[in-house]
Amino acid sequence: MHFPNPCFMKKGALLLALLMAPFLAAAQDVNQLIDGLKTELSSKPDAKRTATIYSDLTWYYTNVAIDSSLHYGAKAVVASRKLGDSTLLAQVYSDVAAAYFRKGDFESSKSNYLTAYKIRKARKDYPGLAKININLGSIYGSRQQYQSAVKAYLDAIEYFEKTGGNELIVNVTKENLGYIFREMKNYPKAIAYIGQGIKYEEQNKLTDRLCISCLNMGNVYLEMKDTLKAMQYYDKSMAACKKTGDKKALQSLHNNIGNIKAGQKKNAEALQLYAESQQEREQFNSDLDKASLKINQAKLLINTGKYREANQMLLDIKKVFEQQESRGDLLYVYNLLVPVYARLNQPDSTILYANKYAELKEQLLNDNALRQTAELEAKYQTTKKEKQLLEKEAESRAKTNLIVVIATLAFFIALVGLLIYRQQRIKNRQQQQEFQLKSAIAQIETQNQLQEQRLAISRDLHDNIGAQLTFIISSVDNIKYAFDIGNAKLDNKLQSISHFTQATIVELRDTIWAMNSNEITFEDLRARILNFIEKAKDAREEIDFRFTIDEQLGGLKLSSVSGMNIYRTIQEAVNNAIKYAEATAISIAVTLNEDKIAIDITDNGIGFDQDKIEKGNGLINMEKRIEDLGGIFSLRSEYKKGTTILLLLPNHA
Amino acid sequence: MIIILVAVILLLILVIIWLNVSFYQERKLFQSRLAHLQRVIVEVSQKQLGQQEQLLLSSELDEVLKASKSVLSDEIFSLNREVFELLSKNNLLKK
Repeated sequence: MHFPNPCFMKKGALLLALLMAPFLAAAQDVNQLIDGLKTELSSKPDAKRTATIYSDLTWYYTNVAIDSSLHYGAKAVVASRKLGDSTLLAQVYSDVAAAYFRKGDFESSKSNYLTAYKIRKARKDYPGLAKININLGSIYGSRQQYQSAVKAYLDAIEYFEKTGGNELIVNVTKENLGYIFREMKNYPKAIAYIGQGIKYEEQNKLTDRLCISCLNMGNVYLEMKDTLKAMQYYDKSMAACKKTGDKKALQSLHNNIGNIKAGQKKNAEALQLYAESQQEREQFNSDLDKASLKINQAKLLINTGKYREANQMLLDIKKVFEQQESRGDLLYVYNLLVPVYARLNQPDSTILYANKYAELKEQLLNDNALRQTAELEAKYQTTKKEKQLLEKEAESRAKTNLIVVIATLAFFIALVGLLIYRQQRIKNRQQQQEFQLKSAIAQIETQNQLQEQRLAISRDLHDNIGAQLTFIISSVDNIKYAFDIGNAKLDNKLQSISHFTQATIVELRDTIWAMNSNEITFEDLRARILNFIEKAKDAREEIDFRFTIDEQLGGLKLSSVSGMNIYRTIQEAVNNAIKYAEATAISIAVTLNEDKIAIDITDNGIGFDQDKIEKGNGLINMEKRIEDLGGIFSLRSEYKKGTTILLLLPNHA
Repeated sequence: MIIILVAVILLLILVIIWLNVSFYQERKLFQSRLAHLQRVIVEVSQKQLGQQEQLLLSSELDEVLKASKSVLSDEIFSLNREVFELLSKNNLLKK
């Protein structure tokens, strides 16, 4: 809420803005609240309640007694810190800042608001931050730091507009922003922001707000020398202020309209308005304010040539300003007194006030220069410290970065080392494995070579034996045919030797056949058995022989031992059928029975009673050979119904 | 300084990548060599098994031949005795 008077603007004191809104509450109620809080405090409540009461007292005293407010503020800070309650602490700092603002100590106010801002930011209390921004905007405005003020207000507006439901706060803040733009002489923006506020207030019929907003808008137009528009807004403000009875605003309005009238040389109207303004301000303004407002009247008296009245008024005002040490206003009074005394033809007084004016002006200039120098010095020192801090921070950051980089480097070096070490270990293990495998291969190959030599020796030996056996047969046959041996006994003996030798040769050849074949198929077995049958047929031509092999087993390969055992078994079975069973039909069927190979050898011979006969070497050997292969040997025979031998062998394929 | 260290780190990262690639290739090579050796060992083992079976057959045959030799010796001895008895009976032996 601003009540700026273009003629005398005390910028800091006028920028109360939103901060002042709560103080419009009735002072009586506040006193009652304070009394209530003090009574509660005397009953010694717990630490948290005590801190809260101190905080509330800080706030309520702000409008009643600033010193008491600051006293309780200090206590509230200590109590909140002890509690460690950051929410309360932030609130206390805001309250203390408000008290300092009220006192006019903007620097302390700003410092406390910034502390509260820091705490609320850490707590992510965005509504609290936005409210602080509004108050900070007022402080920056008071300190003529308009850029910062604009930023703070805009931040607050952005937040409240985003969250919605805070139209009143938004519009009041916009009006404050408009006031800042007015201070920056950016009148279009000032008009735009204050205009938005007026529009909102008109829509919502906020008469009390309209009284002030229109007054501010009128002041903007007055500064722009647009007295017509200024008068329009002053009229609007007047109507609203009269409704609400806001005398402070009314006296300001009367004074400003009086200025316009004086400018228009409507002195009588102007004097009338000034008188009304004076009457109104008598009710509540301080002596200093009253004196300030009287300057306009004095000026008007000078303009109308009433020098004696003007002189008297100025001397009265001078006393007030001297008492209050308001040197700026005093300078203005001295400046007006010089021409007045000149007109009154009092040269001594003219010279006296001219000298006083010059002296005070120089003093003010010096003070101003000193203040500016001090401010510059302070700014320089601050900048220097900030620079040092930044340098230290940069140095610290660089060190941290260096440590991080070195640590990373060390990590990577260790990683590379670890990788190389691990790889070397793996390589060693691989070499060891490779060496073991190669050694095993070499060992097996050596054994193979030895076995190969043994096999070669065996083959040579068997070849020799074969040759010797053939020689025996040949010799026996020669003896038989070359000599007429009439002795039957001798003849049988020779015959027996010949047969036995031939059987041995067959055995020898079969074994050599198996030894020379690394792998034996059922087809090979069939060919061999057929060969055997052909020889048998020489003795018994009427035998019908059949050998069938399942197609799936045609390519099955057996090892030499397995092949030999199966061959010997089938051979024994066929031999028995031919020799003892007197069979005329023999069939061999090799089939795949689930996961086993089934070999079925059936003849239609005389058969035998299994319970009555004892197993001979032939049957025992057959059974043993099949069991050696992990198979099952079974025999089924019935007298005169033939014999069936079933061999079940595991299928390793 | 930091730039140099960062450059060294980048270099080390490249070295790590290169080492990993190299390790991977070496492992593959080793696996192929190992597979080849395993194939060889299977082949020679099978060959050895075959030879052992052949030797087993040979031993069995030797047993058979040993028995046959004994039988044949007896038979020939018996034949000789018969012949001598016959010659003696007919006084055909040299004196």
